Amino acid sequence: MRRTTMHKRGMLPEITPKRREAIVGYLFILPTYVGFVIFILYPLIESIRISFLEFSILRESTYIGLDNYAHMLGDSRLRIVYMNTIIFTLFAVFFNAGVGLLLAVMLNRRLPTLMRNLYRSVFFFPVLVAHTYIAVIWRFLYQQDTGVINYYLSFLGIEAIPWLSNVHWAMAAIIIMDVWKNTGFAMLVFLAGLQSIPHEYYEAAQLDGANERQLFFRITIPLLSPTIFFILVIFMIGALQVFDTIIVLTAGGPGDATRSVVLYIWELAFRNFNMGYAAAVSMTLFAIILVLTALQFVISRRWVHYE
Amino acid sequence: MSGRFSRREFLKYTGLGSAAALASAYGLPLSSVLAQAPPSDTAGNLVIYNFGGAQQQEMYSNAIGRFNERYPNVVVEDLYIPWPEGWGHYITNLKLRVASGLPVDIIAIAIEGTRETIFEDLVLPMDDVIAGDSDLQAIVDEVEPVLHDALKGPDGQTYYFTREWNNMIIHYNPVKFEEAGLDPPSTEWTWEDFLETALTLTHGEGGDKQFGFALPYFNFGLTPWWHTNGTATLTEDWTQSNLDDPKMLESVKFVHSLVHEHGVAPSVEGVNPYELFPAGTVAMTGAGRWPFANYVSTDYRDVDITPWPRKRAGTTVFGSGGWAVSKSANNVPLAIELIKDLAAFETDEEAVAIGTSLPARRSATENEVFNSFPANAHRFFGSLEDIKPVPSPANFAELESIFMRHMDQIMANSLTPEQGLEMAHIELSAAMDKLAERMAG
Repeated sequence: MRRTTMHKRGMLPEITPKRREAIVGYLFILPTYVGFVIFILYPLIESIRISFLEFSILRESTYIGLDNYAHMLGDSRLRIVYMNTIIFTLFAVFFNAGVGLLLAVMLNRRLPTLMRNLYRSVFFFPVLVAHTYIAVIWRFLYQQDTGVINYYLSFLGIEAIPWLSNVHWAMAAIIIMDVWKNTGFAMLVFLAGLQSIPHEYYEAAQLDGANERQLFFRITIPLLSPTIFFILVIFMIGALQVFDTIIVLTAGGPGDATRSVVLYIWELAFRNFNMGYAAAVSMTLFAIILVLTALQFVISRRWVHYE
Repeated sequence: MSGRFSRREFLKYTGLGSAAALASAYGLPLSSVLAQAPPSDTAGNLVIYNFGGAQQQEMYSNAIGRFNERYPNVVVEDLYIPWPEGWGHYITNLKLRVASGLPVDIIAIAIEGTRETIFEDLVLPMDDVIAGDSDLQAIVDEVEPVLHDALKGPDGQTYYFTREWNNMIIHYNPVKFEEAGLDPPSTEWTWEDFLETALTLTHGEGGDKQFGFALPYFNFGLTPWWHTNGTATLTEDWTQSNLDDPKMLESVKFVHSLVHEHGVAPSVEGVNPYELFPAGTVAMTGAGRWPFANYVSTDYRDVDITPWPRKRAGTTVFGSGGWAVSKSANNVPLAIELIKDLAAFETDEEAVAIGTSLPARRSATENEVFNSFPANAHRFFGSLEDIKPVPSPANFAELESIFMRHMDQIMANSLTPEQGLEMAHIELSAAMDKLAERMAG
């Protein structure tokens, strides 16, 4: 009725407050959507398209159907890089979250403000430093014959460890550096989570005779579970896409011992000019991350408590 | 001369540039349209796709300055990529730029990338142009033939003008030799002499340990060990893997033994020989002239050079870089004029002064600046008597990746030299077959 009236007057329809609110809301999220379409959705669709091509930047690309996907079945290097990525993800997520939680619990105790801020800054500092700078230092620390770590280990009678030149130690070296670099972020998020737990719960439990262990496992962990879930998801996605930590420290070596899937994709696409196959491999990684994240969300219903 | 451009001149030189582009597109001899240089009041823009260190950037900036004295109305943009993350990545970015329609008039690249740019039709052949241009002919004539020829395409055409070059030569610390009671190495020393010397120079423990030698552990740096044993990673024509050559196995075993059997070199991962050598942690290493910029800037003088020790041959390796005119250049005659300044004698003189890579012309080194440091600086150009370019097929990045990945495993003792080379040979053979298919179209 009202529309008809306005139409007769030859004016634009009157915008109701609800509609106006909706429009404003859409306008606010528009930049994000535009960014998503340009930088995520379009490249994703293009990657899917390229994965079916023998791709050339300057020449005409050839449609080859599922050949790139079929090639993966016989690619022994792909199996190695996937295994490396899984190993890295398991250890990096466990130690980043574990050490971050430990540090957050320690800092959440009654410490002088100055001390707490100092420790928090020190533990968070590596997060702020670029991987390239860190790698220069760690490569020096890790060097087998002239490195600082082996120099001090020698005082304990420990033989020089081939940190970067041994296929087994190299992955450990990368995980150690990654945890040192990133656990500060987990610590900060856990600290925020710990500080949001109402103190009354602890007081009530203490009145009921709960000890420190029970307080931690029966109150802290359940109430921190949304934060733990967030950290696990974020760190898992990051670890599955690990690139910079590895390229600056070992460049995937020795051999393929520390090469991750993303590093392999980068090498295929930008060194070997094999864009089509690189796109196909990246599609498998995308699918794996998608499935694992969805799985985490499903499983989280059993152990994540939102009060 | 007036800075204004008449309509007649505008039509003439626009037509000249367009004709050059058309000629290149239709495979006509460029000399037919490039008989004369554009007039000095030509206006336009030129883009150089370039690489190198900060000092080189300044050197080429001076060359552009000289060009702008001749062509004040031309704006030159030097797209400088400090040090590319591998030549494959550098070429991919170049291809993306060309495919996106962004201008590129001059391409600088190292020998490792020249074949790929030629195969991808990114650069113009220059033989006809050189034949009709005495300035360009003079540039070519002044450069050592072995350097110029190395940058030619498989068709024998010149596409690149030599920009600079480096060989691999032994850098040694004469003070440490004297302290150890050793004479300077002979210019014809053998692998056995080298090992004996390195053993004498290796002593100490822990933080005080001194090694005889630091391996330059990268494809180019390792290549003299193959060449001095009369072999290489690829066959002479760069079309097939040569990793099954018993001489390759012998060479790789020797390199491996320097670290693992004789302990005269530190383990290779995480080691930068060009930091350890001036720090006195090692008495010898291998390099071209490029570390001298650092030696000069830090006033490090305890260094001299000597040829690579020989097994079956005295052949070392060199790599060079070049300038080419891009096939997508908007104004080919103007781009050629800029190359004349970039590849000029003055640029070579500056290269000598800052201590970076070796200049293209031997004549630029016949002076006190070059020959005063190191004492045997003449050995750089002397090595040209017995030298080969680093094998650089169009799939160089893949070759390097395959070979070094397996060398890593050999040096990490996770594969024996026999196993590593066998696996690398299988993978490299497949890659070379694939390249042959790609070349065949």
